Amino acid sequence: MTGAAPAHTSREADLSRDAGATMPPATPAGGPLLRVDGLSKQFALDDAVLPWAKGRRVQAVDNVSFEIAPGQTLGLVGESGCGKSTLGRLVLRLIEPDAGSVALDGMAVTGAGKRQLKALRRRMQIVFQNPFGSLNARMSVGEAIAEPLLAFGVGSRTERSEAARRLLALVGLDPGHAGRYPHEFSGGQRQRIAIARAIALEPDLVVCDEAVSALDVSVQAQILNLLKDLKARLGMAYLFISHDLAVVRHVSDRVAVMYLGSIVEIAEADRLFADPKHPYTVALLASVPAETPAARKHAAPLEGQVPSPIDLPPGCRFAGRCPRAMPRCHEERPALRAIAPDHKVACHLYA
Amino acid sequence: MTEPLLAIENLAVHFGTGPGSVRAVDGVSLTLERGEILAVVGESGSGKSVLSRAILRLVREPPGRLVGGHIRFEGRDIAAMSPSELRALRGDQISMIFQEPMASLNPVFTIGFQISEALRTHRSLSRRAARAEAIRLLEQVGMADAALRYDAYPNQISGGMCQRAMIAQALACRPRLLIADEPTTALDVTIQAQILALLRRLRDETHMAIILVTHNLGVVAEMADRVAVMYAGRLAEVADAQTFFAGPLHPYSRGLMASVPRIGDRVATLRAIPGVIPRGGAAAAGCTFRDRCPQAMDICRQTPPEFIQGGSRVSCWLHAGSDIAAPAAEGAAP
Repeated sequence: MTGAAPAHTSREADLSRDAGATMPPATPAGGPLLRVDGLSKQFALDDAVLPWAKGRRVQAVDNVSFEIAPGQTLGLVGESGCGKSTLGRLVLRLIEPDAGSVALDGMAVTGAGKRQLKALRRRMQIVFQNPFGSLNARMSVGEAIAEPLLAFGVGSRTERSEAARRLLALVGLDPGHAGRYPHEFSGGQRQRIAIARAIALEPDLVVCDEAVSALDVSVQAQILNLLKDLKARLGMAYLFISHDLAVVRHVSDRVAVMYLGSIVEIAEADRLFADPKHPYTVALLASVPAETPAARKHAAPLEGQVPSPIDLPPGCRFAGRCPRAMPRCHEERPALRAIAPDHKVACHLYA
Repeated sequence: MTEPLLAIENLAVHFGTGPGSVRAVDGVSLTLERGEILAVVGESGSGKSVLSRAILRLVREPPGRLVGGHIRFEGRDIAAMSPSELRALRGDQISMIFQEPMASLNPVFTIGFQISEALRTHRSLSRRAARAEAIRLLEQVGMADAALRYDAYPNQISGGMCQRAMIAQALACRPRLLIADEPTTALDVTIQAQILALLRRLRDETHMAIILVTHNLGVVAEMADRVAVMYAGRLAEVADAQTFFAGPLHPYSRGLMASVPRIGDRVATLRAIPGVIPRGGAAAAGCTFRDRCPQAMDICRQTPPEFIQGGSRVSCWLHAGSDIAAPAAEGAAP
């Protein structure tokens, strides 16, 4: 499942080549591309907006650890408010973590100085959910796609606009449209432009934060195929954040399930969907609507709703909704433990 | 044969005038039986939301315009009703719930007040009786601590709870038809499962019919008795849900099914439909899907009639060997 990893020796040279060519691996064999260790982030509630919540804090991400191998896709699923988007931003250090570390290819992202961070940013990019909000309306799409190159001083002006045209072609758009503006494109086309911009510097890691969620299904399928195709051609790794389990299943090599700031289960994708262990994963999979009328479910698998992440009680965060909760679950938080090779679960049932 | 609960005949709703006008709904005919769940499926721009709003005459005029057709509800034509007749109908015999519960509830009134409002308006209940009935409705839709939540404002409860409150409001007068426009799209999957189970239970208990407008084929598979696929303002296919999921007939329906990733059936590459839905709604002539259709032929420049094949209605020349559906309305065309 890991393809060839991209090289980062001579980026200027890379750009002059056909962007579709396969590149030789550069990451040391066996080492993870991304290593996240004990990452935590709390947000203080705004006293002015919520005076009654004075001094209270939301634990958005709580002690999260995982790794992504070069060229691998890790799917990150969870419901709204589980911290999956915060985690994606923490990985790129778009927000500062309270604790824990992120390392890309063995180099620390957390704690890196301004210059080091800029150098690392070149290797990590993000695609957001809303292509209407993430493109500057006053910039032609050619300029938008070439901007990362400009930011890193790659190539001359002509070379950059050449690169933008090539990238447009790579994501399936007409290179002749480089001079057009975002409003002239449909939602799906705009998401292609956002992807072209994200891959302009040939990053090792692309964080896709709900990158296909705002699109119609026929267009969503086009973008999913494009992301898979680019991965095969350029050897990028993805952190693919989505609430849509079927989409995550489709793109991921491995899948992590988040609930209220923590990873409750992480496993190889086929294994997770075939044999989910954590009661929350089980309930989440059972909540997905049937694929045919013959497979109707008739009952909701989970009662209640996700509790507020403010001032959480001790113990397992899922205990209040869990059909298999034991007394211990309300007192002691289960750690994420390996129950099989590449399958970890945070649940006392498997302790 | 008894009369259907709702019969839409050759309905047309356009936006704007002149050459730039958009045919959002372009000659749609549908029927709905009592207690039936009909799913109207389509992508953005298909006209499904305009169709659902047009049934209650909720399309703002201008820019919208009901150009032609009839909407017969229990024999009475909604398309010809006066504003006072419409007011008596809306929220009483036909109710509607929307995608964004937070945006559809009024933030300055308690949810209890908004539910009792319908009862006080249509049933002339006293304040006290309306309150008791509203609390009973909140319990019916699975709201925990219903008596306490009666006095809550929409911002004080979660999105799933707001959706329950909106359903309670819609059900207050025991409507015979509920129109639900993307009722679970803004909700998380575990909450979606709860709301879908709730809608199905209410249908079973009260025998109301539901028109479920959605882009999510999973929701359709979970809920629908019958499926109507819309594309660029027209119906591509209308079929029984079992038949539809066993084998859709229209190339657009097939493309839609192949576009959706499935948990149980992992494929390397999804069969995406090339191109995008035309922005201006339906073209003047010809099949609206022909530019994206992998099986387009010369005859597709002519608008296909609705062919009947094995109980399904399909607007596609590929099925030209089948029977032609009888025109739904006699002389209804504008």
